[in-house]
Amino acid sequence: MSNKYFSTIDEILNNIQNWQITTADDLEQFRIAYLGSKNELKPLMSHIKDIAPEDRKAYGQKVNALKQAAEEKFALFKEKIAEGAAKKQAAEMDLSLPVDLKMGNAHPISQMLEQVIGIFSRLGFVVADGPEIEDDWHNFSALNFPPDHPARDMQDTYFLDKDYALRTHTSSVQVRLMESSRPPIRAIMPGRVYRNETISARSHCQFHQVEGLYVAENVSLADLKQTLYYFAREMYGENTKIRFRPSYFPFTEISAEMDISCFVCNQKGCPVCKHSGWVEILGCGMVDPNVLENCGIDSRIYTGFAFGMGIERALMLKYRIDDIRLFFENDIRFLQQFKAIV
Amino acid sequence: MKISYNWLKTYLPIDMAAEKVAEILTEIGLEVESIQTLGADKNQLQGLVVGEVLSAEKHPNADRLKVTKVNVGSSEILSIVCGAPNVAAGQKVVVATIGTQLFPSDSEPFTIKRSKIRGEISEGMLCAEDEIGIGKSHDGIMVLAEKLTVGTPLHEVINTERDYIFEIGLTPNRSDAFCHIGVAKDLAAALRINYKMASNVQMPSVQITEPTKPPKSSLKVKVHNYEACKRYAGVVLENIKVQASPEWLQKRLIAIGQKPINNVVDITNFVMWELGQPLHAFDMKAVGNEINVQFLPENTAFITLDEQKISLQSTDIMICNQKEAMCMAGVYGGKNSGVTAQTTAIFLESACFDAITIRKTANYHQLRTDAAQHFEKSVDPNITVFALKRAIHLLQSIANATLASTIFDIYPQDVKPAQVDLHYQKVSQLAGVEIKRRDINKILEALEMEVISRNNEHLSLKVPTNKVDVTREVDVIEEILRIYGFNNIPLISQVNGTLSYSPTIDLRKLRTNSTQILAARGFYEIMNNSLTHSALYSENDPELISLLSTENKNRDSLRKNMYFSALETISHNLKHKQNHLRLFEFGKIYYKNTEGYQEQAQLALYLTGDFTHQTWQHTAQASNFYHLKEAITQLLQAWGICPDKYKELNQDDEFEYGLAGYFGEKIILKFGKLQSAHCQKFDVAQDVFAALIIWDELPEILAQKKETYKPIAKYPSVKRDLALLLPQNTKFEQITSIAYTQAPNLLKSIELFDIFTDAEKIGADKKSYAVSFVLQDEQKTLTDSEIDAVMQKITDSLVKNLHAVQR
Repeated sequence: MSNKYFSTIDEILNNIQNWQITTADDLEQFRIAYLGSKNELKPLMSHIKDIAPEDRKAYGQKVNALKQAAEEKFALFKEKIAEGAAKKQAAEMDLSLPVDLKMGNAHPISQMLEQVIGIFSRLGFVVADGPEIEDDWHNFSALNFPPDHPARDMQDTYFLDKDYALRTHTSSVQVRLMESSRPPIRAIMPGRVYRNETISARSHCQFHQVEGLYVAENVSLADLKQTLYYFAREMYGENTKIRFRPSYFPFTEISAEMDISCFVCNQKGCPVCKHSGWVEILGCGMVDPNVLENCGIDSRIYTGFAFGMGIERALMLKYRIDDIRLFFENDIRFLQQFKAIV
Repeated sequence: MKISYNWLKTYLPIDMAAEKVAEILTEIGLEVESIQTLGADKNQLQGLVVGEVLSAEKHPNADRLKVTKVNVGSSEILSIVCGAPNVAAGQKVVVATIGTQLFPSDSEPFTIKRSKIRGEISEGMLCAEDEIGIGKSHDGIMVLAEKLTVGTPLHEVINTERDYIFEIGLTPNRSDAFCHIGVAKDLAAALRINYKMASNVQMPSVQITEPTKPPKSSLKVKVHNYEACKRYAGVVLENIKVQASPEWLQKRLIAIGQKPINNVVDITNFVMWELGQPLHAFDMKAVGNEINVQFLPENTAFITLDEQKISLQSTDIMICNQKEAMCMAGVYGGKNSGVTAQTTAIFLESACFDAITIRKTANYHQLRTDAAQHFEKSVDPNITVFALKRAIHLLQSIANATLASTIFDIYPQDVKPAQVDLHYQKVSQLAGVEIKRRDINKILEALEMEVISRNNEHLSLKVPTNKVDVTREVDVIEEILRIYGFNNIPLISQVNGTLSYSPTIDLRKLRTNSTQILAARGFYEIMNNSLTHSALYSENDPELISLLSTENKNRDSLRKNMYFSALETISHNLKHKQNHLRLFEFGKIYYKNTEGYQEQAQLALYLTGDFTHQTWQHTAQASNFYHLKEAITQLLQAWGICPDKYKELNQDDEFEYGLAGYFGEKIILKFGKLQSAHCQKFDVAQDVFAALIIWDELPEILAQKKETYKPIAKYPSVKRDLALLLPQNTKFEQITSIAYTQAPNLLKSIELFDIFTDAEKIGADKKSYAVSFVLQDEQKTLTDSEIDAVMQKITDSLVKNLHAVQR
């Protein structure tokens, strides 16, 4: 008699093991059959009274094992089917669909100004600013440009009246800074400047400069060189070499222009450096004692250095842009090429 | 300034590659901008001969080639195939015969072989300049002078003296180097100091043959103004034979780009480029018995040598005879006083005119001659007579001149060398590196600075008068370091440093951060021209700042607003089919008022075209006022400020509609839809939304900002929605203001989550706003009855004040 019940269990186990589950629907049928509220296993326990007492323990264990087998199979296939569904969904995704990105960027001039200011900030320079409409004193006289001196011809000036003009360089900010504060002065002065020149691919009536000034006791040419060398390396890479050429600016005595080793060809010779291996990037020098005195600073106690560079020129070299007008036309197709901020 | 290396070598015999010389000159502040090669190398012309083209017929098998018969003076007539378009019978040409090695300008040498070109035999080559390395021209074969004899070796008929021309960008302070001797002296100093070469400049000969009988001249020379003319020297010379200059002199002038004219003029020109002293030769017939260096009354007429009629200023210093002006001193000659082929006697002038006087004259009359440029940069007052003697020497040896007067030399106020005290220590201090006294002394000697006295600490110097700009200790230090070499000052590992303080409100940083926010929102930064066209503004706008003169006609004023230039940018982009733009600019506007010229920094934002376009994920949406408002609100939040109030812009010149944001009584920002009349001026037909923020006002507002922390509320908030049917003209702001008045403590925020309009369903004069109210009590959890009471209060007030109907 007992054997009959045992063989029923074996039969059901066999059915559980062989039940084919491939779809969510199959799984549901399986659940109803063995785990649902009216499942096939339920009646089995009621048969225990018909089992010989010595076999009852074994019978109970068998029924429980049957239940466990059904649960395990269900869990296994539930996971499998869910996995399959996810896989299917993943396979159907078109990950190559385009996204619609609206991102702008800073103007290349702003980007380069930011970079230059950042480098000098690390050396302790602070940013100073001044007006674009300047009087003769701040733009010329205080900077040691005597009236009727040929040096004034170096710059074509936009005059507004006999006393005022648009500043031709950011050096005017030096004067304002030295007039309004006492040494030590360590500042960087970015800004827009103007020259009365015909607008063409090579020249424009407005451009941007960055001016630097350091006035304190015992500031020397060696300090200037090291500061600018630091700048050149930070800006153009660690292998950059620098070269100084004596030059002339009315407001510096010891005046020089600084060249850097051509970053395009590594001094092998290319059109950017005109095959000289060197590219001119800035003008600099030791502040002329007359300028210090003009600003009320005692030139017997203090010395200083100053430097200035053109931003558009630097950008044109860096990106090999051949038309300065592009900077102020603001063609979106030009601007959007300067997206990367590092 | 052009400097010929061969000419330079006549004073400073050195044997150095031209490139090396250029490098040294650049190092000492005479920047060589380019080197030009002149003349051919004789060794590279072997085998090249003068030939005559007897005939040139079309090549039977090639349209662009010709078959020529060429006579090179040998028994055989050569057959040569030539591709040059300019070849023709009768020409004298350069022929490379079989076996000749050619040295082209831009490629490797090669040898001419007998060959067949498209079936025709070619026994040589007719050459172009670049093919034989004597020039860059490849426009066709070289055509030589007809008179040349066939068979003559080419090196006998062309210039085979190799020369290098340095183009030097001379700075305005270096008038001492504005001539060959000046450059030679500087180069010699550098060679002595840095290259240990015993180089010395040999001054040219000024030997003069004195006449046996002392000459007598009735000429009277008078200087009427010593300010304008510091020194005036001259001499009368006669028996002159005016003719073409000898070849060597012509060659010198041609090398530096000067055109030879005749021996007298060429000598004056030569001496100017040799010694830096401009000279002028007058025909004695014009001079008569008197020379007056003087000013003439304003508007006196003067006719120049090229027959321009000039109206003089009373500040133009003139060289006059008894009755009239003969020459604008130091600037330009007159019509009837110059040297001609008939001239036999001259008055030769060597003078030192005042730099500023000459500069004013040259500038005013637009006569920027070489002489004027020398004088403007200052000419050494102590070279005057030396240069005169040098010219006399040359005129005697070349033009057969004899002295007909003694040398006049009017020099009332001797210009003495500047005396400068130099402290050795100062040199090292300024250089930042120890420079030995011995080295300083050597450099000073090489620079011809005369030491008057010296001790261990300092020395007194006399600076040569040709160094006009060297008058102070610091100037001398620059001269020393220039020759010492800026590049020889070592890089040091430490820099002198001090602390500087930034302003509390760092506008630069604010600008950078704001740029990043705007860029992330899709805005591009633009930079427009500050200069604009006055025609854009109303005529005689008293606030508009105009330029006195401009090289660019449509840039004659400073912009008074930001958006005109932005419209220019937008217009440019629309023309290039870039229609959807988000732009911003940090810039300045300019105007004048009773207090003078004013500048104001502004930040401006612009939106035009589609804000989003149709994609698989988004629908297209045209830019509107609210997109702009979003950006502005984000910026204000990032700055941590909020306007005290907003007012609608009515009857505004700039905006068709929009808002003005106030801080106190000041408008700090305006934004809205730009007047289409403005847009049309720039052919912009689409809507443009603009925001203008007065950037300069921000520091004051930001300085008042107080930032505090507020504890996070412990009790939950609840949200209640209301659908309100409102009259069409109701403003959302009215709802918020009423609601906050009714529940000032509990109401935390109000959101508008839907707007519904439908003429049929709710009527054309109505709109429906669906509004959420967030309520929260900081002390306890709100009960339903408390919430209902507050909401009722708010609803009642909206119904009463706004005629709202709850839907």
